[in-house]
Amino acid sequence: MNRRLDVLVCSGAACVSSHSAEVKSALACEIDARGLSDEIRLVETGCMGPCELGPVLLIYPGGTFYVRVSPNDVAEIVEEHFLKGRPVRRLLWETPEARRIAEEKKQVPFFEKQQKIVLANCGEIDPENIEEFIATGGYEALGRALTEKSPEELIETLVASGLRGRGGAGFPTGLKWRFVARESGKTKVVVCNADEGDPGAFMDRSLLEGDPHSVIEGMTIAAYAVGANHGYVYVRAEYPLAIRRLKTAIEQARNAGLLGLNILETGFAFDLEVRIGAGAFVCGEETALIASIEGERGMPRTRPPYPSTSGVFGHPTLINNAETWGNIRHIVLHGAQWFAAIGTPQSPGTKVFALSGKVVNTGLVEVPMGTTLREVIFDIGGGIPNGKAFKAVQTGGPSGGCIPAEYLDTPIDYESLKKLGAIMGSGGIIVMDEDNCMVNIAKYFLDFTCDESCGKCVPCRAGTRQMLDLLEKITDGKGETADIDRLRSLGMMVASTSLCGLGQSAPNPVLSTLKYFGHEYQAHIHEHRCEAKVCPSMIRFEINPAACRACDKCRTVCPVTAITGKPGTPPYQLDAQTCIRCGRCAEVCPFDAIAINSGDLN
Amino acid sequence: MKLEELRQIRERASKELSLRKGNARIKVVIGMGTSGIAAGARDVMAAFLDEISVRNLTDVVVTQTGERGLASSEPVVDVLITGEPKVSYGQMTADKARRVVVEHLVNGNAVTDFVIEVRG
Amino acid sequence: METIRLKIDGREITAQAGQTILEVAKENGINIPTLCHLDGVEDVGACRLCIVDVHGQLVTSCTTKVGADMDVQTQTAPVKEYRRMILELLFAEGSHVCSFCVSNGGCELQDLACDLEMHSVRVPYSFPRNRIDATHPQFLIDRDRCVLCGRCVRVCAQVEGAHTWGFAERGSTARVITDLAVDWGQAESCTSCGKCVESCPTGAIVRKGASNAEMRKKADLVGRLTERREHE
Repeated sequence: MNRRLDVLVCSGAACVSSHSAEVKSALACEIDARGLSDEIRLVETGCMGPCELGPVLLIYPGGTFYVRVSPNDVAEIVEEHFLKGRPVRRLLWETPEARRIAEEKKQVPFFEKQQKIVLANCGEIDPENIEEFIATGGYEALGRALTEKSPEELIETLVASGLRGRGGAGFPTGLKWRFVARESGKTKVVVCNADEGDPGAFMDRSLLEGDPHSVIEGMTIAAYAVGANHGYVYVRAEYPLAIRRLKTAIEQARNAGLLGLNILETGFAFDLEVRIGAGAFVCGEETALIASIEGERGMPRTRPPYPSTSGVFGHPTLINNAETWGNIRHIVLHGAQWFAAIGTPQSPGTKVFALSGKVVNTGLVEVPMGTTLREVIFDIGGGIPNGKAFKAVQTGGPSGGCIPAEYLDTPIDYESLKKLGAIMGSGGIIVMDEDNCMVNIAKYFLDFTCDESCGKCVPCRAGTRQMLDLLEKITDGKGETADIDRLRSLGMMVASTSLCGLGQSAPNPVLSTLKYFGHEYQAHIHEHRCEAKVCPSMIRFEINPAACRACDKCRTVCPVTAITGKPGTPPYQLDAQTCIRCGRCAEVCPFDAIAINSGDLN
Repeated sequence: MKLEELRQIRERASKELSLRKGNARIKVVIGMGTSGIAAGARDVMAAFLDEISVRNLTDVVVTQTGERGLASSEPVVDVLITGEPKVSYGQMTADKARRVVVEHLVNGNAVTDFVIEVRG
Repeated sequence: METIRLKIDGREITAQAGQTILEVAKENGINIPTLCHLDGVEDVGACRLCIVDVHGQLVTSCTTKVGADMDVQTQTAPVKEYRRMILELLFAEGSHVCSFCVSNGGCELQDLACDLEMHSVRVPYSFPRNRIDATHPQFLIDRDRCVLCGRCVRVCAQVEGAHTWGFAERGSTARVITDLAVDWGQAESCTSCGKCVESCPTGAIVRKGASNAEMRKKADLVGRLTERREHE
């Protein structure tokens, strides 16, 4: 029988970690056992987006979208859906707000509001099959660029499109291309920055895992435009799947004559090398990345000279982020006007975000620039789980700022976020709810940047350390009023005088929380009160005598025998001095008799 | 590889992906409940898929549905063409299926001999 | 060579294109504090003490080339305050107790503290306890007195060509190492030329045998060496 079903199994790293490979092999066995192998094709794709719900399956025709599939569901899916045509309703995505079951992927609110350009192929094609990429129009842009367009025309198209760097700084991509094209050097280099180091960010990874050819195509077009014959993709070693698929894709492109000495038989030569980084956050900074490619210690260098003048081994170097590269083929195919019409005039196009934290639908989303934070968090993200209240959203990873609820309607673009003291960054969005202590959050991010500082310049190396010590002092309940000013002035100094972007942006989480959540710092310092009841030094467990039924449960779980009492004779007593605030007693109490309180006792 | 060759590959490969496009003009829905399968629905489906592929029809998708209570008329097949009423055929066989492809899907005339219902 | 006119602290100055702000300032008797800068090796902009204000932007004068109509301010209030804070951070980070240091009286860090009027350190000290490496027959390194300026690393690589010195670890645990973090005495690449000793601005890398306040260094040695090489 002819093929009638395509079963797409998400094999992005998140689904792989929730055992999508086992689902896939179970499907293969079951399909085989029922003699359906000819009719049904199993395809491993890149990330489909809703990572929280993995493993996910997408079935065509029809676009049925199954979530949280386990190998145990496979027999039923094959029997009921593949054989009898009845989708297994219990595995469809039930959207909590409407209590509505989505029959098809496109009906799911998570997907409805998105506009996928860069990620259009992610989750829809097999990333290890170059023909599937070609089927979606892949390498057509390269073909047209090489045969119909001059390098100047391509650069003009890029400039006119208004595309800006997706790595965070938002520098106009076309201008960068122009700078490199104008350099007279004989050897020029093209680099893809896929050294995504922010905690909670996985845009570049998903693109390389789901559609590696789009990055290769974008880089090859750029190489032709600026006159480069050699390129590097710098990926961190923590992304083994992305590295494997990228290497496979490069190999396939070479074999097809789409990379190498005579691309599409036009005489143009370009080839790519994969460089694997050891996973230092600072290597996402372009000059440190270049140093690392050269085999040097990954430390930033002062600019100027910019990489466009002197980059890899001193050659003029065009370096763009993976997501930026993913945009190129679409701009060449559809034109600058088409691209400029998407998003906002100052920030055209779409942006991919990694949505994580206290939000119902975590995962990968792509929206037009200018979409508001509220739309991303509440419409696409499905809001805050467990009925909790939204507190803040952090954009731009550890170097970003925390934005409070009153600015939720801010459109996401480079300038608007910067105005709020946050940054676009590479696209991490971390949502925080009432249970997050903002002082603790600032401490968490600063701990990260302090640890990731390369140690070259004094403000970043020693300044972030002093700031972290101050934050620890405050969360330990030893803060003084003057510490707030100390934090602020250290933060300003580190931001103004650090050598590279890491240090310059490292104080953002502290400065933005001081600005929008200053009252939490005050409460920690003056009342020893942690509103969110997070900082262990400021919380205490107390037994409410009226609610205690002397069931003895709490006493038996307490690891330090801080609770005393006799079964049946309430109330039990909790000795605050002995208590280590582990919280086990509150967890087991059937009567909610154990309260967590914070703040000085009057 | 030249650009023309790339385009030939695309031509060929995009047929492979046609199932995922989802904007087919014609939808053939085959009743594949227990009674449908018992009455030979799988052969009917195979015939549809084969004939569609032989004739290189790219805007047709074949899907299935479950039992709908017309056991005596199984296998039941619905043909949905954008902008036209839904036509249901009953007691289908592989040969009948091939006729439906030729006369209904290609030429646009329902095969009235096997029609059991027209709705919409 | 192209001549450039610019202003430093309000003074009209002419300079050659390609010169750094620091070079031009020095030529004109304008003092900008430096620590990681060393004549004869590449500038890296690591210590940030030489920051100046150029049209509202803070840049390191050692790595920034002069431009036409540049308006450079070397002594604005934020610049002075930030320099002082950076210096305080350096003092707090290491163990810089002048009274029993071999380089007392001959230390660039100490001179900077005097020049920048650092009366006190406003951040807490971290009191590091690194092991002193005295395994080399002639020299020793006390990493508690190291300011990570990297002058030893650069002079060893760029002038001596030995590449003995390097960096290891990162952030506040970053440190200079010899070869692959072996004891200096075991570092086979070391030629014992002593240029790192003369280049080290503090009492971190010193010649053995010097007692309290006896160590004096020839920081201009490397500059003179490279100048002579250029004239050959």
